[in-house]
Formats: sequence, structure tokens, C-alpha cells
Amino acid sequence: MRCEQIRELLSPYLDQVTDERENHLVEAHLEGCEDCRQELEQLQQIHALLCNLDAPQIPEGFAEDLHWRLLKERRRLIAPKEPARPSKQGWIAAAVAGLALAAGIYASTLLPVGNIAQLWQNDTDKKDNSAKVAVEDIIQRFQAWKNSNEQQPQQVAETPGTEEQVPQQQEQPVVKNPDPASNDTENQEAPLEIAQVEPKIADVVKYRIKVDSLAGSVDKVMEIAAASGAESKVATGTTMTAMNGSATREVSLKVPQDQVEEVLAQLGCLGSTSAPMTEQVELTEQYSEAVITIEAIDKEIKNLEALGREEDQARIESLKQQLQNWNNKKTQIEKDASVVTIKVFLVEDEVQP
Amino acid sequence: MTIEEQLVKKSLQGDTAAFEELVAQYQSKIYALAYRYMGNEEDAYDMSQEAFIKAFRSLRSFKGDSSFGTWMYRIATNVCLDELRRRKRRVSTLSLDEPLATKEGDEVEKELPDTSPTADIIYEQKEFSQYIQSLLDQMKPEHKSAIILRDIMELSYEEMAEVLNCSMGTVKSRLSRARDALRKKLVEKELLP
Repeated sequence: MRCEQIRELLSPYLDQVTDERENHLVEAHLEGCEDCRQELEQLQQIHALLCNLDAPQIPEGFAEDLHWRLLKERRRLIAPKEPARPSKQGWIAAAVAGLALAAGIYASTLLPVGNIAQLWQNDTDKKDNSAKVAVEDIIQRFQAWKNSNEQQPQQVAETPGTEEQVPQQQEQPVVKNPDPASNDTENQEAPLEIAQVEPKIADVVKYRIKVDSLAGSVDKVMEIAAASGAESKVATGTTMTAMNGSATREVSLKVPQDQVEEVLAQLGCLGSTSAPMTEQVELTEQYSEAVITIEAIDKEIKNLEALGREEDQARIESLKQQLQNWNNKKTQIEKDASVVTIKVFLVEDEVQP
Repeated sequence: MTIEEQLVKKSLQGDTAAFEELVAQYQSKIYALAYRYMGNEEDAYDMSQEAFIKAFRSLRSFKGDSSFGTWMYRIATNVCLDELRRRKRRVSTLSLDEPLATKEGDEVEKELPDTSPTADIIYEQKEFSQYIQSLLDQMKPEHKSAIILRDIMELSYEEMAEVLNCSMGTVKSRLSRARDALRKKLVEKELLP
């Protein structure tokens, strides 16, 4: 056999996907051909080099980034569809109506006008039976089709946990999509039934106050907060150093909406202030994540409990713990959105030696 | 039902946490695949994110004929190749293994200006890795796919045929040609005995 033919076989031979006959041919040739032997060795080396290339490290934050994108994607998938074009059912209903009308007109050409109504009830009228049967057949088929379509979503919605036990009753008219990467428009109507959450937005007011002494002022801020029924928390890291070298401290207050003005006025008495800056923090995404996750964990727990298996107990416990954490998170967001956060930055007036 | 199948089913019901469990199993491989196709970290990051989003979006078309991993490789491969094609349309790049067509319609072997490092420094592992990457970057898509999927990601011929949507015979011949192109280049640079 010639070298070129053997060389075609060297790559598959290396991967051991050649058959016995080919192996035989290659091995017999290699024994007598120095060049082909060398080429095989080179291919082996290349394969080894490529196998041993360092795998690139996936950057930090990849999963988290994807997490948010997935939530966004899911919201997009479950967003209500615009009524941009008539539904398939609408088209078919229109077509059926058109056909019925046409059949009626056809029938009317064969009969005196007064007999048309009677015709629809009179099966014995052989002359026009064909038109009538055809229309009824279409209507029946349409109704059957419509019923089957209406059942489909219910099937999905009713049996999320036990679907594997339900035999597939009807072939769903799914559009086959052999290449998911290049065409995804057909796949966007996933059967997701999740409630939209209301927007959660937290108001934050930043307030900078120059004071004579940090320690005393922090206490005073806490007192003002307590008097108005607000929660207060000194930011961790306690004393920080501002850009100009002054010592600063951040105290964060959660103030009921109607108390904000009063609290700001009282804080203003502590020293010279800059104008309070307000901003809004969008918490809807986090909130929706919490709601969705709670729902999912809850469902999972119920499923596992329904099975009542001993080995699932640990998992159930861990899920309950997670559920608790997410509920706390959710409550926290609800709270944050219902109160105004005042971030008080206390800056000591004198530069400390 | 395997754990993977359960996760796919839950993902179909909109459970992103289940889908993220699937992602966790494959993200390193998908990122590595995208890195070899794109040749840099930034694009690899974007393409692998895109691939997972696309997979989530089109999960309903995953019929379970192949493993989720193979299906994922296929999506990632297509995402990368689409992007490379899109860019190629904008900037026509020279390829290592594609003969140049002259005005008269003949094909001539092209001479690329060789800016790659010389043999003695290439044997530094990192340099070498970069050099191999630069060779991959210059290959035409089907050869590049063959090398990446087989020699780097170590897929079987059957899996490659599924990922590339072609026959086993095509996989065999593409891989053979791709390896030969790479071999010739390395021999020319005296990097192989």
C-alpha cells in the first residue's frame, strides 16, 4: 500500500478507531517505512501536547453573573406575550367560519331559501348530505383539536412533581429544532407559570454631618433613631479615615417614611451638614429571586415529605434551613423597601494628630 | 431517572437553581472549549455565558438522545463558530490551512509572515501553550473544531459527530487533515523531531 493511503489511516489508528483489517495494513506498512513511522510518532506527540495544555481557569464570578442573567432570562420567558398576531386557534376558527359560510352558500344554490334551516336538521335529505357532513366534520375536528390543546397546559401545570408517572397521552405539536444554537425563537414559550412580583425599591438618603467629636455624636444619632422608632446600626469597620484624613463613622438608620423629615431635622442639629442626597436602590430583582427560590424550595420539601423516605430527612432539614434563610432575606427586602434608609456619615471636624 | 435528567426536568419548569446545578458540572469544560475557540479570556467568558443562556432558553429541544454534556458542547461550539463567522465577515482574516485563490482562480499555498517565537523559547510551557493557541486561531473552523473536541476536550468520535452534526467518516477525515496541518507547522518550526 502507498504511503499516502496509510497516512490517511494514521490519525484514526492513533485513536484506535480503525478496524482489524486496517490495523493490519498500517502495522505491516510501518514495519518497512521509516517516514510513516516518524509521522505516527509526531502525531502521537501532538496529541500528547494538546492533551496536556493547561486548562484555563474559569474567572471568579462566572456563576454569579450567569445566575442573574438566568433570572432575567426567565422573567423574559414568563412575561405576558403581546397580542401581536392572531392565535392559531383564532385562524382556525375563522377558517371554519369561512368554510361553513361557503358550504351554506353552496347549499343555498341547490335549494329554495326557505329550506336551508330545515336542511341542517334533516339527515334524510340525501341530495345535500355531502356539504353538511363536510362542515360538521371540520367543526368536530376543530373542537377535538381545541380540546386537546386546552388540556395540554393543564397537564403540565397539574403534575409538576409526578410527571414521570403520567403516560404521555398526546403528541404535543412541538416544532423540532435540530440546531438549538442557531434558532431559538421556537423555544421561547416555555410552560412557566410563575407570578410576577411587585417592584421593590428602597429609598436611601445620604447625610453628611461635620461634628466635634465622633463618639458623642454616634450616641446622639442612636438616641434620635430610638426616639423615632427607627432601627440604627453603626457600620462595621467603625472608624474610617476620610480622604482628607478626618476620622469618619457611618451610622445607618431605618426610618419609617413619615418620620424622615423629623429625623433629618434633629440630625441637622448635631453639626454643620451638607444637603442630604437621596437615591433609590432597585431591589426587585433580589426580591423576585427570593420569591421564586422560596417557591421552589417549598415545592421540593413537599415532594420529599410526600415520599416519606428516611434517607431524605437530612436533605429536608437542610432545605428547611435554606427556606428560613430565604424567608429572612425576603422579609428584609420587604422591610428595606417599606422604610427609608438614612446613612449618616459623621465626620470629625478637626484633623486628628 | 438520573440526577441529570431530574435537573433538566426541573429546569424546564423554570427552576433556575436546578439549571445552575447543571451549569456547575459543565462550566469549566464549556469555558475551556470557548477559550480554545476564541483565543482569549474575555471572549471565552462571553461565549460560555451566552451558551448557557441559550441552552436554558432552548431546553425544550433537548430530547435526551445524547447526554446533556454533549448537547451543551454542541451549543457552545455553535455559539463560538457563529461569533467567529460574524467577525470574519467584518474582518477577513488569513487562514493557516486554507489555500489562497488567485485572480485567475488557481489556488496557491499562502506564505504567512511568521511572527511566532523561535524554538528555544517556545519550550517554556506557557509560551508553547500560547503558540499552539495562535496556530489554532489561524485554522479553518472545521479543522479547529476537530482538534479542540478530540485532542483538547477528549471527546469520542461518536460524541464529535453529534456535536458537529456530521457523520463519523467526516469526523475521521477532518481530524486527520487538521492534525496533519498542525504537524506540518510544528515540523517546519522544528518543534517536532
